[in-house]
Amino acid sequence: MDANSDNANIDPQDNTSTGSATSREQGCGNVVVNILDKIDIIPGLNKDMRNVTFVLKDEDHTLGNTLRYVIMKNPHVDYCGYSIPHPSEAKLNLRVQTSEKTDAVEALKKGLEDLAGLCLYVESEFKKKIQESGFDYDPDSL
Amino acid sequence: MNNINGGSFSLGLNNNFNNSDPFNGGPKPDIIIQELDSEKIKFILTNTELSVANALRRLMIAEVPTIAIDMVEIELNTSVLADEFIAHRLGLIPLDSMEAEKIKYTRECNCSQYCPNCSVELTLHAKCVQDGQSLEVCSRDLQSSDPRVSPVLKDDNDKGILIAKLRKGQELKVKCVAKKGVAKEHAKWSPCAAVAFEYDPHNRLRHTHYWIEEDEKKEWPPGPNANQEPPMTDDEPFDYNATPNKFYFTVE
Repeated sequence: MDANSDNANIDPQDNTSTGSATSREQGCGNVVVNILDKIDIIPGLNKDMRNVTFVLKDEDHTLGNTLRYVIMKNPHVDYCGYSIPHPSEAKLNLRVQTSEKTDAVEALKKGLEDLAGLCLYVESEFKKKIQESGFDYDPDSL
Repeated sequence: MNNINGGSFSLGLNNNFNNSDPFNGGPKPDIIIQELDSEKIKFILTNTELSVANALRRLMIAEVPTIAIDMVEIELNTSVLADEFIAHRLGLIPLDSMEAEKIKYTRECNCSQYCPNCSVELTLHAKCVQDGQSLEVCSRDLQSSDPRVSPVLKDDNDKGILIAKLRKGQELKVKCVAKKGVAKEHAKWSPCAAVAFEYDPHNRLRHTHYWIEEDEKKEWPPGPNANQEPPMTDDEPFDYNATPNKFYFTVE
């Protein structure tokens, strides 16, 4: 399913986040992932893109629950929830509903950035505490 | 070490996280390390939410890439064990995976099947020639093509994990291809033996319902993390808005 083709009421130029998705390849580290293989939008959404259900492929509760939490922290998000419709399909439905001040695509984008920031913060804090802890541990000795 | 934006991390969206505060002005997560050695860590994660702590637990169990034997070519097997039995055992042998970051996933490699960029070859050749005594083939006998990736051994005297026992005349010759993978696909790629995860040791939030016969306090004595939080008093009112905030991890 294409993110654009099923939404005839959406002008591709109108929204860059979905419009440019067809040809865009995103670099994740040294891995190249075609964005359309990763994310989809369930049909039947309004042009303002405020209420959207995304489908994330090859993801599970690890990302779903955390992303739900991070997106809900955004004050402009009215609702965010996720479900895994079928246990033997590696798909995750993420519903995002926002106020007029933003749209669901922006909210998802901010959520992912905030989550990455959160992870980087925890990682740096962890490394700092390991160094400070004074335990007899040398990661290079392994 | 303390560089937040360090490493080769790239989300492809926007690497500048400074303009957006993931904590929304709230308290930042904190970590207290209680125990640490090369095999075990005990730490407490605070000021975060259950979903984040649980994601950390899930990531440690299932999504940290390691290296394990994934394909086995059996050239000769005259042992009493079946080929697939030995192949399965070889897959479960822990290999030193400290360099896993530098090895590619085979599916992301440009080669047609596998190559040194995405795999490590280990060979094993053992034959019993002694009469009346069986030969123990152990994981130390695996010869790795890459010195960075070899079976995990305790010390120089450790023979490693027993793979098979051979009687006189029996021979085992195999070529193994070790690949990078995650435990989501198969548990042999799991980097940890166990991850203990606990929050709310006094069950203040009533997320669990203890099965009891007569006396709850007698049958459910305080756990190892109970001294980290004040015990429940008998007249304590139930705060139904409370959320867990202190998470206890033990990773082996």
